[in-house]
Amino acid sequence: MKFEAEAPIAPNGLAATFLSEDASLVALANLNAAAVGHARLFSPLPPPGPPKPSRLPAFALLIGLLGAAGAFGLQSYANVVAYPLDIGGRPPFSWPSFIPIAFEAGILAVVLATVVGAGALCGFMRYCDSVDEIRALRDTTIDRWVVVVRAPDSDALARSRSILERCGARAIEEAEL
Amino acid sequence: MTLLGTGSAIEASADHRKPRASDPIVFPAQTISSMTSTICAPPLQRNWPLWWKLSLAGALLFVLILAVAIGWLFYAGIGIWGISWPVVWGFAIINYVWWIAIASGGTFISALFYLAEVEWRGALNRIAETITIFAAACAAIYPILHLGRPWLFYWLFPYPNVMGVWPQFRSPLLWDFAAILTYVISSILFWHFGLVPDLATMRDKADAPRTRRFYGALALGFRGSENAWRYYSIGYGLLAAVMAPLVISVHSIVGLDFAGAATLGWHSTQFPPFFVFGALLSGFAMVMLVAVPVRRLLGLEDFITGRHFDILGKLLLTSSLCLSYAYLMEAFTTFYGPDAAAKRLFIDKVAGELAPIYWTTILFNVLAPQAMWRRSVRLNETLVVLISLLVIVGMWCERYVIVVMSLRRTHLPSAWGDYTPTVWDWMTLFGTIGLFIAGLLVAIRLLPTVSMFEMREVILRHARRHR
Repeated sequence: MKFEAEAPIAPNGLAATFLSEDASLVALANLNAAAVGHARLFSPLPPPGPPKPSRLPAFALLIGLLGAAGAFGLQSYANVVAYPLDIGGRPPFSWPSFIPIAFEAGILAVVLATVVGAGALCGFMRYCDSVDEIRALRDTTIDRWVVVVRAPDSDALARSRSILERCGARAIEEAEL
Repeated sequence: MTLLGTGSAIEASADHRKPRASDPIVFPAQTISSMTSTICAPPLQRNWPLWWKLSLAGALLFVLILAVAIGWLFYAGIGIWGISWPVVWGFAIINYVWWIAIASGGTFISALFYLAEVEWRGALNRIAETITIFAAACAAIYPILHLGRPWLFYWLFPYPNVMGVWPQFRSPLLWDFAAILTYVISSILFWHFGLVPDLATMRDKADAPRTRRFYGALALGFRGSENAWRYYSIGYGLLAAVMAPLVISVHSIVGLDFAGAATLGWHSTQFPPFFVFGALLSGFAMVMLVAVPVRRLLGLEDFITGRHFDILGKLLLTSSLCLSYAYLMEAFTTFYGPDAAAKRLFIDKVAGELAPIYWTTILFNVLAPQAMWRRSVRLNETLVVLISLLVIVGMWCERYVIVVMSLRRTHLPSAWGDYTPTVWDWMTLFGTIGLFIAGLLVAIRLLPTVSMFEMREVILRHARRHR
């Protein structure tokens, strides 16, 4: 039986390493302006500038309010309906005393919603990704900035390389993305 | 050379081991590369020195003592402790309040100062958060043990059950359960969330496949993409924004545990802020107490500098003054009010049988921190450790005064009693101290002690300023 040799896969992306944040940001901007493909920046610290708007805070607030309301409702149900106890003559619906637990439940709900929501958006638990094969990416969590670009064709790939070189990339690595 | 090794970055810091007033937040010789290497070196080092092994062995011995004390408690019941009528809250509650206050200080540094965009926090927040985690764990043990039948602790959860009963939601003790549970869960999540980028650095710095897998699993696949950073920053900010009010609520509720009872010396509206002041003082003291040896032993002098000592000393002094005000108000309101029993209790505190404990509290919490007015004291590592230690002991004495002195002298003289802790009480106390130290030792062995991604921001910002 004869096996056909697999055709080599042509690289469709580049990973350029930069020593400074400024140079990497310029390269990213130039790649985006030239529309040569999908460019991403990997960096050892959060990129500068004000945070972009996100629905995450509103989501966390909503879950927090639901948590607080749920805890308040549970306490009211338990004390008024399910298990009314006369403690020191206080009314069953002693709403001020339900506030601390409702507050704590609200905070816990916000924390859980934030961790789950931000984790999902950050890509937590995604242990495998096509960029993992790029050697330079191991340095982005240490002291390097790496711009990864996925180009649709060989022409775009060549243009990307030219832009990255012009912007002062220290090393350029080919990648299969 | 430090006790850990002779790395070039570590050796470079030998010139400024002694804290000075002119120290910057981070020494300009440090680049993000050298900083990352310095911080990663201790956890990635294969063999740790003898001091670490001996310290861990000593701490684990105390953990063993704790296990024996808890095991005997489960078998024999809380009669093995010194508590009895009228002093029904003894060491368990003293130690609980003491530990949870120590935990709170860490959250103040990591959350409140993050919101205030304070630069110096970057070097200390990891230490502060680690203190929070292990102190909160030690605190959480006590209320469970104090239940009498600790194995039925889950009855505190509100869940439908065949007995048809629900917890008493109008009791501050149940509020406390909710607060501590929320605080412990939130602190662990906040701690791990803050660690994720640094765990990714550890993963990428490690050479051994097993080490890479360990840190890789904990780093949750974080790669530092622009998108990941964007949502990470928003998430971290949100967590900090809720952790700050949470820590104040937790300690206010601990204060309400006392204030909600019609007990002499407890039934006071000032208790919630009074307890928050105490939490600030003991928390800052513990951060200083841990930061001094950690800085020396791990070669972190370039990142925890004289500037940090100066600021922490001022914070310790400020919180001591706040607490002094609360002590003063306690005396004032007692004698301004009409309750003769309250006045008698206060006189018993300051001149009675247990007066030395009260005056130790004043000496350690009010007078000793006044030395921090002098910059030379704030920058002297030995004095900083000594004063922090005095404050930690003083805060424990304060809780002894609050819990024991009020309970032993009730409104009715015929119901007066006394309290003597037993060997099991002391074993449990020292056991949790061992647990706390063991936790810290394991944490500094496995995790980066300084937040590297935040230090990178500080280093780059300083480099831009000096460009």
